[in-house]
Amino acid sequence: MRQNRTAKWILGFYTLGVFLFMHIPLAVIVLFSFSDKRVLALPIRDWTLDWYRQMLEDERLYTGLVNSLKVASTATLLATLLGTLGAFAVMRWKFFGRNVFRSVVAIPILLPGIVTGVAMLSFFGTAGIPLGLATVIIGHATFGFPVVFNTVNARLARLPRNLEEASADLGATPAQTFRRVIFPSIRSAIVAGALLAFTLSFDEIVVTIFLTGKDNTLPMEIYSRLRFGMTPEINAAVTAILAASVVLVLLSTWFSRKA
Amino acid sequence: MPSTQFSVQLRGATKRYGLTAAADAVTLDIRHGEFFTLLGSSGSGKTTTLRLIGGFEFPDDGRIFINGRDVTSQPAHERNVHTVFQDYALFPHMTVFNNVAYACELKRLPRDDIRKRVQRAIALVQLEGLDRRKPSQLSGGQQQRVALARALVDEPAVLLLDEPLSALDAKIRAEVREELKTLQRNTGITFIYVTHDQEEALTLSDRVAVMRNGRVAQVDTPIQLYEYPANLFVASFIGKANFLPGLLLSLDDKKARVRVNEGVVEGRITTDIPVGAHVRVMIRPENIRLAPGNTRVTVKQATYLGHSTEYILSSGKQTLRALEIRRLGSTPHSVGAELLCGWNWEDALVYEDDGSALTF
Amino acid sequence: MSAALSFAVVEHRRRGKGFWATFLPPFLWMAGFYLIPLAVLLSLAFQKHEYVRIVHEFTWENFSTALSPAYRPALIRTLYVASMVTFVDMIIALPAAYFLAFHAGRWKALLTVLILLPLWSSYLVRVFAWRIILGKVGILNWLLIQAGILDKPSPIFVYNLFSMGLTLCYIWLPFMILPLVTAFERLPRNLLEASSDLGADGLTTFRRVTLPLIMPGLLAGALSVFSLTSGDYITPALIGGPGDSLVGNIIAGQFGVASNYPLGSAISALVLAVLFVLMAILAKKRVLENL
Repeated sequence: MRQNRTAKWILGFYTLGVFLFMHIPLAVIVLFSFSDKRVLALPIRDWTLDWYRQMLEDERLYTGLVNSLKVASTATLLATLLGTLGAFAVMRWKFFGRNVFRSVVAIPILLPGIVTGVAMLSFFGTAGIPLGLATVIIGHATFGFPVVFNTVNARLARLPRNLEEASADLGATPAQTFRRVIFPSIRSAIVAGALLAFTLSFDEIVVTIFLTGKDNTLPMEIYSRLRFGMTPEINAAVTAILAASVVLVLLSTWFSRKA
Repeated sequence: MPSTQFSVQLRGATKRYGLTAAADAVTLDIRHGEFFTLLGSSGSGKTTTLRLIGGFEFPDDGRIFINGRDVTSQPAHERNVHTVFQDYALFPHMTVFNNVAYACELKRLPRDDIRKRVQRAIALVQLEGLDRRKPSQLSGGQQQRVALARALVDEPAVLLLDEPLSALDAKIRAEVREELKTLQRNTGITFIYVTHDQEEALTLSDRVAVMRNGRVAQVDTPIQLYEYPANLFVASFIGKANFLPGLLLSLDDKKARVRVNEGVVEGRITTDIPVGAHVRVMIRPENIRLAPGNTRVTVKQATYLGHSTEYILSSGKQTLRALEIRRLGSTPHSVGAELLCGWNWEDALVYEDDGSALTF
Repeated sequence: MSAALSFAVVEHRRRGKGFWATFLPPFLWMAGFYLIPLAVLLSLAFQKHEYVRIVHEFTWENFSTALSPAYRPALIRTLYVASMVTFVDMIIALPAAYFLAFHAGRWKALLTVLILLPLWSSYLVRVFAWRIILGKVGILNWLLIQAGILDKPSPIFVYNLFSMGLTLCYIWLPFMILPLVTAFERLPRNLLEASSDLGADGLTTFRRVTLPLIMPGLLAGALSVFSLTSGDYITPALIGGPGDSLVGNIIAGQFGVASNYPLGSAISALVLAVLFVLMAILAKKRVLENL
């Protein structure tokens, strides 16, 4: 018993270490966004909100942000629609190749982004489709789709099989059953999946690099500046995004808990 | 005190969760080779007591002895005690053979020896030929037998069974129950069995501990429990009975006179109760004789049960339940009939009314 | 597409407009924007490249170039780095996931959110944070000087295989922890009690019961980390040394500056082949359902 408790403490400290490893880098970014020096080095002498003001006045960051919001919201909308439809098709009907379909859908999140990126680049090039925000949206929707599909599919699989039958038995048409029984029980899963797809798209860079034309998304803008080094405005921008992410994570957790 | 005479002994074993004691100063002496049952409803502490013996929980107070040795702080894997879990807990990634062989392999027995023991255990529970299956390929009854074989294979000092029949359907349950009894007799291993089903407890056990609110209410043989319950709770928990409320008027050695609603009745008293106390007179339905007697009753309901007929009788405000064995040529009384009934005073037991009767 | 035929519906429930309305849009999207692009990519790998033009002529040449000494080191380095990162993440994640699933108590919800948080915050910046920590004017150097271990800042902590490996471990760690936490949570507690009851100590129970049962989750996490690492090219570019490029950098280069799509496709095809073989092996063990 004594031995057990010691093991538990060791395990606890190890876990604490792992969590520190995961969060110290984030803390560093947040910390330096308030440092008044331009050089990102310790010690920090004075604190300032100046970088946040500069970030808000930075036109290229602003354009990037607007582009990212456009891309992420459109791609999320598409991904949510496709993912929900696909999950529903897989649950509602048994068809030949259903399991193949299920695993094919998972491939875009299993394969590294670069493969998706260069494959789409080759395809758009061959088909003569000009690159731009539209192609970025298509790329993002393609890996957002499996994300939504997986969350909704998992929820649908947990629904009792006879729910639909019970609804039909009580006189509901298939459309009414969907609207009044199925949809309310998967709504929170759809929202959780959509939130995750949105964040992934908002932060995406690997695929975006290959698919964008002249328009820069926010991560692309940050990446092009990072080559010359990190600046406090970027720290500020990222801290702001991080704060927004925290809200989104909390929302998503809350939605996926609410069964 | 601790003695090798006993297989398992608990001395004031207490386990608290927050403010409630799941097991409250439980003291038991379980003999070698005994089929011993912990009987109680959910929350009575029977499972906690079993887990204390198994080494899955450790008592906050008190001591536990196995074969006279203090094992209070020994974890489960150091105790020579095995458990048959409620939902079997078979290892899903192992075959039947590997599941059964597990305990022997951990003891690093020679390979041949392990095979022989596993085969013997599998034969003991009549599962020959299934040793290469995975648990998921077995029926509930078969899984149950694997769990038994796995726990018996290295001949533990004690076998703990946590409601092992509850996941089986009624027909298989009766079958396995018979087999459990035979198995216990043939192996001579001490069985400690947890159940909420009093029929299981009474038919299987050599002795039963009735538990309530973490405490032991009575430990006795099934016959003693049914015929001479030690207190009002056990009397009402085991079997069906009538409990007439009344006042103790007088005592004559073991014979008590009690004033109840409709007059005075006589009963047997086994504990010290002061004259004038509120009491309950317990009479089993089958001990009520319908005529001749001195209590006038009306038949309110008659339920034909085949081998017997159950009556609900009323006498003023008091309702009585009576059971009459069917005799050849007799016809059941019909509803509304007026009868006289009575009982032998030795069959009516008088308890002080502590409010613990589970009345129906 | 003939693939459409293979998805032809074999009856089960009465299907009709409803089925096609739900099935076709996602199917066509996947086929049109994912499967066909992959096919185009693979077909490019077998075409000739002359100057900046693609000549439609079948050839194996791109594959022999991809495996030639010019590119082989990057391929081997990628396999090595991806394996090491996967292994290290397993070692980091296993105890932490175990703790989270079994002992976290009321902190569990908070800790789970904390695992998700890095995943949801900018990938680029998380990579860059390590430059701030490990760089010449970085936090690590400052701490070492304060502690008196160094007397002047050292550049040895960054722009090498180590800093790249460390950052990759950090970036992809959540993909290892999450499936492991799920796997530990799904593990029925009474199996652990049963093992202990039959005489196994903690370590034996872990080896013989826990580990085999969480294996699908562990392998699912390993597949994710391996795949993500072997396709990463931003981390090597930002924090690796000049000679530490991974296969992703080569692919990106061929589709970028070098503009040699066929060679880039052939290298991508090699990466795909390795990953598909891994997936096929793992699919047999029903690992993919744990992702």
